[in-house]
Amino acid sequence: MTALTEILLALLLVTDLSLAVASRLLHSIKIVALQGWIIGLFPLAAWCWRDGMPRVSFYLIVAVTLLVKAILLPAMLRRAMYKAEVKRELEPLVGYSLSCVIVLAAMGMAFWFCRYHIALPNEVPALCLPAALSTIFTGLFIIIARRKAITQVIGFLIFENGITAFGLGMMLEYGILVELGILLDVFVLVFIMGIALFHINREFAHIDADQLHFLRDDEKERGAK
Amino acid sequence: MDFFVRSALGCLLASALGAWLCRKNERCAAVTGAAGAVLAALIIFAGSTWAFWHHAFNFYASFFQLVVALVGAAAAMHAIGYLAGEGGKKFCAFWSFYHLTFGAMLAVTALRSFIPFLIAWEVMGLASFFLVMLEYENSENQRAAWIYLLGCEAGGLLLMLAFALSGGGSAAYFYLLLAGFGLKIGFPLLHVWLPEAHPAAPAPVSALMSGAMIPLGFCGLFRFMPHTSACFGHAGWALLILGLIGAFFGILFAAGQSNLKRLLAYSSIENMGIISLGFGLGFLGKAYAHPTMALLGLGGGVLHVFNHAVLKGMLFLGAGSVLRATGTLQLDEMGGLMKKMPVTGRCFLCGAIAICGLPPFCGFTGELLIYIGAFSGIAHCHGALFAGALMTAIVLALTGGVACAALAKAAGGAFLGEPRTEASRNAAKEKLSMVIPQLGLLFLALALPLFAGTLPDVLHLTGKAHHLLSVVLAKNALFCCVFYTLIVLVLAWRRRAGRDARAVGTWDCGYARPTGRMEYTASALTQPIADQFDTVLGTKREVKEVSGLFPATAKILISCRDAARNFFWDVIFHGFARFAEKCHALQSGYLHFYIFMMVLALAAMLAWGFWA
Amino acid sequence: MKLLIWSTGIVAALAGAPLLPGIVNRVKAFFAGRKGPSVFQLYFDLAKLSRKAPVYSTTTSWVFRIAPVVNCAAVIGALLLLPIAGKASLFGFAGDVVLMLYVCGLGRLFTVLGALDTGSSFEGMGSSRECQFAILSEGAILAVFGALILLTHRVSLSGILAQMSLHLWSVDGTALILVGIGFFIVILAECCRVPVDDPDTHLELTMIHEAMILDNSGADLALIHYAAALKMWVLLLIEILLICPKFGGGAWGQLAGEILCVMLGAAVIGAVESVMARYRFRKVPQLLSSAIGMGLLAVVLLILFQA
Repeated sequence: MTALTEILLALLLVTDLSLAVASRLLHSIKIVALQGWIIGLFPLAAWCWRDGMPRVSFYLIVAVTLLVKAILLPAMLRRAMYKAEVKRELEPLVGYSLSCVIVLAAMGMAFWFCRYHIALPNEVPALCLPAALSTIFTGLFIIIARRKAITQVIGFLIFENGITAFGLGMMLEYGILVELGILLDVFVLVFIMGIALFHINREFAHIDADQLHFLRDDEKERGAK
Repeated sequence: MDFFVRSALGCLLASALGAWLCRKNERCAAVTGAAGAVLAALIIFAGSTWAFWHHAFNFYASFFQLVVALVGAAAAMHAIGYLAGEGGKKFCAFWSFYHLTFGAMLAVTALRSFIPFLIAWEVMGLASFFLVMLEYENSENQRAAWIYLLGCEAGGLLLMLAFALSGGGSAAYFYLLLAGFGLKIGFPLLHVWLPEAHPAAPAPVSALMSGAMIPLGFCGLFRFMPHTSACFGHAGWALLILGLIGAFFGILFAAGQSNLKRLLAYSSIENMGIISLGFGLGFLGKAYAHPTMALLGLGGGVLHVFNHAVLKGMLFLGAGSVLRATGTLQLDEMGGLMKKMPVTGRCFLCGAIAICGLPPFCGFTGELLIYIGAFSGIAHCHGALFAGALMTAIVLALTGGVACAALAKAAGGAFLGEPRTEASRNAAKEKLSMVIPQLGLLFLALALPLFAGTLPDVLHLTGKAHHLLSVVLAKNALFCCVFYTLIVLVLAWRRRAGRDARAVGTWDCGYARPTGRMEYTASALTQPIADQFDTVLGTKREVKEVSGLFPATAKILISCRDAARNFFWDVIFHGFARFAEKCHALQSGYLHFYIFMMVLALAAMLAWGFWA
Repeated sequence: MKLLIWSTGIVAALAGAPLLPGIVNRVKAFFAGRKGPSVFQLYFDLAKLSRKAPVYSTTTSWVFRIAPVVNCAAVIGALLLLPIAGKASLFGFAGDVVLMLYVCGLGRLFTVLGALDTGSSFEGMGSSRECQFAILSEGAILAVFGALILLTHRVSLSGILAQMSLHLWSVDGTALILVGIGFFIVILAECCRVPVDDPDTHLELTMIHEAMILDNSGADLALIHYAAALKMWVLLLIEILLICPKFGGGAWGQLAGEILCVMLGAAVIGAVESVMARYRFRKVPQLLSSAIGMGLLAVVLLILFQA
């Protein structure tokens, strides 16, 4: 298991774990950027160089993924963080140690699931699917278990990283269009979120997503206030 | 029931009568009672030695009899001092019920058929209920005793149900047995009576119950469960999972307690968890044909039963001595007792270290075997079995870590540092009768690892299994000797280097006069752990904050209630009570309505009859 | 011959252990642009301390006096279980990993009890933290060794470490990397180094290990310092045998290589200490639980690739 792809995928798992216990915003963003690098470089590691050079579109997807995932999105997030003057703590709804346990359990489940329930073609690295599933789960978990709106964007990015890893592993050849489509989606989403964050912050002086429920039309609550 | 058990029972009966006859003379009654118990224990020892030499050493009977006799005798000796000055009536009650419990426990180990066993089991529960109730003046104690009685009777009921169902090999039969005996053992969720009954009972009774009575559940379970491969599989998984939960959460709750005996009670739950882990691994090894794992797991479980009896007996007796000397069980009101009670302090400290499973004491040998069983599972098993073995090893390590914190809290809070209150500053001196049994148990705790090498012979092992076990135990004994030598060498060096020592006050970083009130409290010691696992422990805080320029009072009160009771049983019972309250409407007082209900019931039964 | 090499290794450890803190400090000084104390500083300190008469608090009992002795004996006992230069330990047996772990635990528990015996609030605080972190670091050690047992199918320390080879690295490298990192985190925690504890701090409120020994003096303090250094040697040696198992030059060459690598390991700790800040207390359990996570992840990887 000492091939480069496996090391990269194991690194992806380690980043998931460290995202679960990361307590500072900037730190999380940096780890997400690292994930971007891993995902971006992964096709280069997975390509069988002995069998010949890949097409130009292959380099294109690597370049675009790296540009968007490893540089652009983290930079935007960082900017949003500074702009919105968010407190730099993550404010978890689920404690860090428990998060670590949950993510670990999810990883175990992912491995168990892939081991016994999915038959993979041989050329797919065995670690790929479980790592992708774990990353997807970590993303979802961060969306659910952290309070701030900006962490939800981060969670979404992790989630998307997982999907990309999944796609890269499963359909190295044909996935380019799908990939680019997803990337565009995410890009737009983060853009909108960034703007929304900025405005929410200006209006409400904080961006705790769990406070948003006060905005609903609830006569009783309004009467109570 | 063999000759030795019969004569031991006779001896107990005679001594109970003797204690009653000389009830006017307290001292005389105490000596008669204790002497009877010790004599009975000696008879049992003689019996097991005889059985051992004649190769008739029956594990279920002889081994557990040994455990019962050991703790029973030690606790009886301790009771002489513990009950001094309680008055004749109580004395009489204590000794008759103590001997009844003791005898019933011996009978439980010796009886082999259902009905007599069940009778002995019930007598054991009822007699010990009266012992828990001994200090009935306190309403808390009454409550605790009732909870204990409920637990006992529920267990008895489940057992009767199991025996009524006794088709033999069915899974329902096994799980009913597991639940019935589990109520005695204190498996998670079924443990609620333990942390209530132990603080309420007199210390010798706590020692007897915790050290010898709880593990009898295992004795009963193994005797009556069908010895088939399928059942070993069920038993293995059930015990393993219950053990994992019980060990870790038991000790976590122990770390949260500030009442010494309650802490020890939770530690008993932990140790029962460790024993179940051992037996669970053992049964899984039997079911899935891994003889190494089976041997090590079962051997570890057996050793730990014995070690736990010795150590928990010693610790509860120590707690009793502390209660008699200071009048309190709250760790935060003790401190500095090592100077007032040097022997008790030494015994308690060693017992605390040993029950954490640390070498060179006896607690380590049992855990070591369980660990090695888990390791062999990790190395040679696949799938779920592998996962179980890995979890066992990791949970045991985590449990050991928390145990160190919890027992450091108990020993450190009670015996080390400065006295925190007047009560502990003016603690009474220890009594000889209370010290001797603790010393005896301490001797066993130190000597056991050195002589644990006989275990393979006791278990009638031969060949490879014998070799494996005896190598591990012999190497462990060798290491203990090396370790003692190292300590002596280092001690000798330090003695040479550190002559003319001076004595001053504790430095305490520049405070001029540190007092007991400035010490770190026992609760504070484990507070970080309690905080870390707050999701599970659910500690409740009452804080009165410091306010104003000249704050008059400030306080913080942290309590850690039992989660199973809080979130499971209370919910169920309150729900049931509400339901019963609703049913109360049926009792309307109109005769017509009652008759209507009876007609309805009749119709329903008829319908059911036709349906079936 | 075997016995001779093994005992030489033990003697080298006993004699050379005080070098390690010296190396760490020297590396730290280098990073800070200072000259730093001599590498042999701890030897001088030990010599000085062992000549001084100890001071005992009137609050303390025998526990306080015996605690440093037991701690030191425990660490020496742990050392005796290690294989050295490819020679299995004289006292080793199947499952001696647990014995090593628990004997170190005994030393730690005695240190904690000795600290509680002084009645000082700061020492209580230190022992409280030590207890908390010990739980997770013990779990991490077991997780790491669980992976190693799965990998090598051996259960004794000597057996496991003897199985480590370059071939194993080429097959199961990813898992071994995780195991190595996990164990290194354990070393940092067990030896009380940054980012878990700062041995240089002089603020009692933030200390862990140093806070527990505030009241020790004279020969007792010397024993404590010596035991800490020796513990670092023991753990580093295990890590070295995990990472870089084989050297040429026969048994003596192997022995020399191991000793040199332990020194190198100390230098790495010094470097880590120079570039990292110490974590907040709330953060430390997360670090240690991630070490457990590394061990479990390695297990999962091994299972995935062994089938």
